[in-house]
Amino acid sequence: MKKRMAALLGALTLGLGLLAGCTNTAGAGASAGGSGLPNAANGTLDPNDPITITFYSYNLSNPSQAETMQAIIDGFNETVGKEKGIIVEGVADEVTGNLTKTKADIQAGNQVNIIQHTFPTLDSSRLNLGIQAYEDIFPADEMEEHFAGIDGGARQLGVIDGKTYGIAFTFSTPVMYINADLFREAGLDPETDAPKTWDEMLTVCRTIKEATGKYGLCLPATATNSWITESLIFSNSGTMLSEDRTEATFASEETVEAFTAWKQLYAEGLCAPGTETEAAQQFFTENAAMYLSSTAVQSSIQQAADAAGWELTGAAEPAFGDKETAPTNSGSCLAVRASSDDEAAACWEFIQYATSAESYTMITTGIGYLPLRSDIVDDPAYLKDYADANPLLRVNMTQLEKIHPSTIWPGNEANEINTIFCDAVTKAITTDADILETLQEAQDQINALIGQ
Amino acid sequence: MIQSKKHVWSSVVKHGLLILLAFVAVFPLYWLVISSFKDAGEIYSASLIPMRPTLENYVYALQEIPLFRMLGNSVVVSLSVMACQLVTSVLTAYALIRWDFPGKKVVYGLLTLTWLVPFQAIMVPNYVQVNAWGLKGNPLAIILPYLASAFACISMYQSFNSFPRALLDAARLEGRSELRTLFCIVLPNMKSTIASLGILLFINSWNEYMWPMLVVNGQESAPIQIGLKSFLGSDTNSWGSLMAATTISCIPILVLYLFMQKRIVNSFMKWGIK
Amino acid sequence: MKAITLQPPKTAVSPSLPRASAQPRQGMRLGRKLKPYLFLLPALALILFWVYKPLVQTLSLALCRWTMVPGTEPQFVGLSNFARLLTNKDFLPAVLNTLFYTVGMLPFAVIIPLLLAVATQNVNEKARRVYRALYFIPMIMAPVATSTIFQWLCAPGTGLLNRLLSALGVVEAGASFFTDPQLCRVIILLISGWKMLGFSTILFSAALTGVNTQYYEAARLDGAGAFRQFWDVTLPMISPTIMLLVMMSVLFSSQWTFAYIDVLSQGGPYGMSTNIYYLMYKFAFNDMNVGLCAAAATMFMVFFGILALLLQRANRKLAFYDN
Repeated sequence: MKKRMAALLGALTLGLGLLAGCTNTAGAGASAGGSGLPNAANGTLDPNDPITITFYSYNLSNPSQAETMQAIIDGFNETVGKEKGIIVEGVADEVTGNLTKTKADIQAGNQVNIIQHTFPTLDSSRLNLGIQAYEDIFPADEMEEHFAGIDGGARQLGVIDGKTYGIAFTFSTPVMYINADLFREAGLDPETDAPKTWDEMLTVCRTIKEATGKYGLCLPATATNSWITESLIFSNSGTMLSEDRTEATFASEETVEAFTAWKQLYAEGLCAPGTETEAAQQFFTENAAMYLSSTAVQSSIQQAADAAGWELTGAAEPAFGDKETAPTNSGSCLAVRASSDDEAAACWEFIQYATSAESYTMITTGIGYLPLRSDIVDDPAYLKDYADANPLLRVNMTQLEKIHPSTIWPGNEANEINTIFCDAVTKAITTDADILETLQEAQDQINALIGQ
Repeated sequence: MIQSKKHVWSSVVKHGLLILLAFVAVFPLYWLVISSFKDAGEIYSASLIPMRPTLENYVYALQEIPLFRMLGNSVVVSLSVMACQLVTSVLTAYALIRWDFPGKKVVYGLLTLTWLVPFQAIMVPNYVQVNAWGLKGNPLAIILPYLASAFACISMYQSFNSFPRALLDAARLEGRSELRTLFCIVLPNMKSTIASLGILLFINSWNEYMWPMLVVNGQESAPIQIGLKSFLGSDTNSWGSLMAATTISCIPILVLYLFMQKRIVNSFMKWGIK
Repeated sequence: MKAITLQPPKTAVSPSLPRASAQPRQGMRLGRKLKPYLFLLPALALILFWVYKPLVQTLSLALCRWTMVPGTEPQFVGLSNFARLLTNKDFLPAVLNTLFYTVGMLPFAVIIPLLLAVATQNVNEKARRVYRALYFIPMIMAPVATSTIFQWLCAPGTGLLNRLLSALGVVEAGASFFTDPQLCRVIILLISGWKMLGFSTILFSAALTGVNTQYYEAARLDGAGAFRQFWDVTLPMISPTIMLLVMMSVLFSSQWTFAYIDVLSQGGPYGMSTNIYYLMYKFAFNDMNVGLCAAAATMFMVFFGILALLLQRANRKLAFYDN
């Protein structure tokens, strides 16, 4: 016993000795950025000595989306890149959009220049990851010219405190996919009986369950879906944040009302349980009649429907009573971290290319995201053929006009705040927990964190 | 007569229990392998053998991710880790049995106390360290923190402890150098121990998950565990190809087990597990 | 790397080691004195550098706020990380789950294997060898591979285990195990338990064959029945194995569950399957809050340290060595 204690004490003293001599724990790397921000206007690009920049994209991890994203990168490298001397290297981040790899690589000191960034945590990345405002590093006149064709609502999505920290890139609104065959099997008409309100949703789901034994709806209450959750709140005139973005305000009567309708579907076993992937699987395998999700999955659903031989139709997001729905956006914006004038200039070239009419045509036709430039939808040079073949696109484009930006959580702790919100939603919807209590608790926790 | 009847019954019950446990232990592996041979139409059926065995899942998995390359990475990493840990632990064990020296207790204490240090308590500084050296994505980043293992040192020391001291004394009287004593007298007698411990260290390193997950960059340099995880994340819908990839990832260890089953079980029993 | 050795612990450092030869030449004295340290140097330096140095750094980071982003420095914030840790919504569930995984592991690592081993004593050697080879398989399977297999077995509506359980009426048809707050951690525990079960049984069987039959004969002569024999002879004789397995489960089971949590549930739903180690990982690499991670690490190291000391004591009191 004595010996063991002696050994323990010895180790402890040694440890404390090290502690005293070793307080400087930071791996003091080169201090990038600093006060002097890079300026694209001062950057020089040389086709004979190309500069390499990186583009972190989560679409590159998804087999059915990677092809399009890689095509845009390759297209850039072969044209503008070759001409001006820029090589864009695509790096695949985790498919969930949690930016796991992006964060880890920035922590590792790797070169991370352009990030396909989701919206909820943009502010924390601005504060912690060194995301720069477009206005600070890109030439104002060129920006104005290039972004002219982009709809005002979409243009504002990545704006924090009056500055653009990301321009909307891949982008979609909620759309309701319908398995027309299952509707007919339940004696419903997929056109006229598609639920327009959440009250109708409950009756339709019950009918389907009784007639076919299948789930009515897939709307998983998970973090990947939080933008649709927000849309439900907004559609019932609830709010997420106070006007000045200093306080969370979602624990309200309006939210409770909206959530009660959703929860009822879960409680009666009408809503497919599980993760986003598991729930989607139910719709893909004809085990559920409706799926409220992103326009981005349209092409893969269409493929599944064609392969299995059932008819896919669509409808708009249901409303609460006679209130107008407030669709939110999912998807991402392009955020920039440039460490030199040259890098900034290179980033600006790629961003212009990636948000051009050509690229949006590719993104829309290849993946199913919405084009941010609405004028190209009817332009035969771009999307007209596609829009004629896919009538859902024009339906979704009309939603763009009333789009309600999804929430960007304020401050340093956005990651933690986002987790608290999403977890509270899961708990409120899928368990017996009281909705208001659960949300109130989450809201208090979030408000305690916002100031920090 | 009654005695023997009772005996038969107890024997049946015993074997029943043992077979049940064996079934529980092996069935998931069996299900893995047969699922990997089922085609898309059959994958959801509960049949215990594939009715229309197919290799399409393997073709798809091999096409999607560089599985063989990842297996190669794992072999290189695990062999290096094993070799280095064996060398460092042999030296340590020899010092501990050969001499009495001031600070010996502290050394032993430092080795044993590493039990109480969870990986999560040291991951951040180590991560910062390998990044500061610019090693992220380099196989060296996976290997470096595992060059020495306190577990290997202690296990080796406990085995060396049984080495007859008389032989050491004899070597000393002959005037042999320490390294020669170690290599010519101790090691030849400890071959079997070292081999067993080596297998254990190899398997531990092969199954290592969290640290490689942090420092790996991209599929080309990923060990198989990390590659499998990324495949799982990107393609959850096709169970057949996922099972095919998983089966491939298990093959090296299972082959090793097939040939050295007795030795592997014994070394785990002797030294325990991570 | 941490591990525990299964040999009955011997005295840490034997005091009766033969001393090095006592007739040195004067000039070589220093060299001779340094020799042991030279042999120890590689391992010791590496362990100090990769285990103890970062450990000390973590202790000091617990008082700082830092994102790990190069070019930024940790800022001293005192004890506020500990305060924030205690108010973090996932902290209490994580602590309780750590306890759940730890205690829940005991049946799989100790109780069931012990009963199985006792019930199946005296099986002939040949059969025993076959069983042993099969039981051991889960032990060498990699955690990620194990996770994918069980994810497939549990897939809602299509996984074999999922269908079996819903056919038996244990769960609803099509239930999603890994998004169910109660089921999720039970399944993760079952998977960790599956890995340990066969191995522990092998260990106990081996320990039982080592028990001297004379003890049983003596007990039988005293008129002890089967239960008394188990209680008075078997248990004390294999107590070192029991204590080792208990200690292993207590110290490491939360570590073992890490990979399953990461692959299968990412700690969800709403943090209901996370444990303290997974939470630390989330703090550092998802929330980019190194201080919070370090604070949690510090707290738990102290806690597990005390626990280990108590177990050591219990081990010395309870375990019986038949020398």
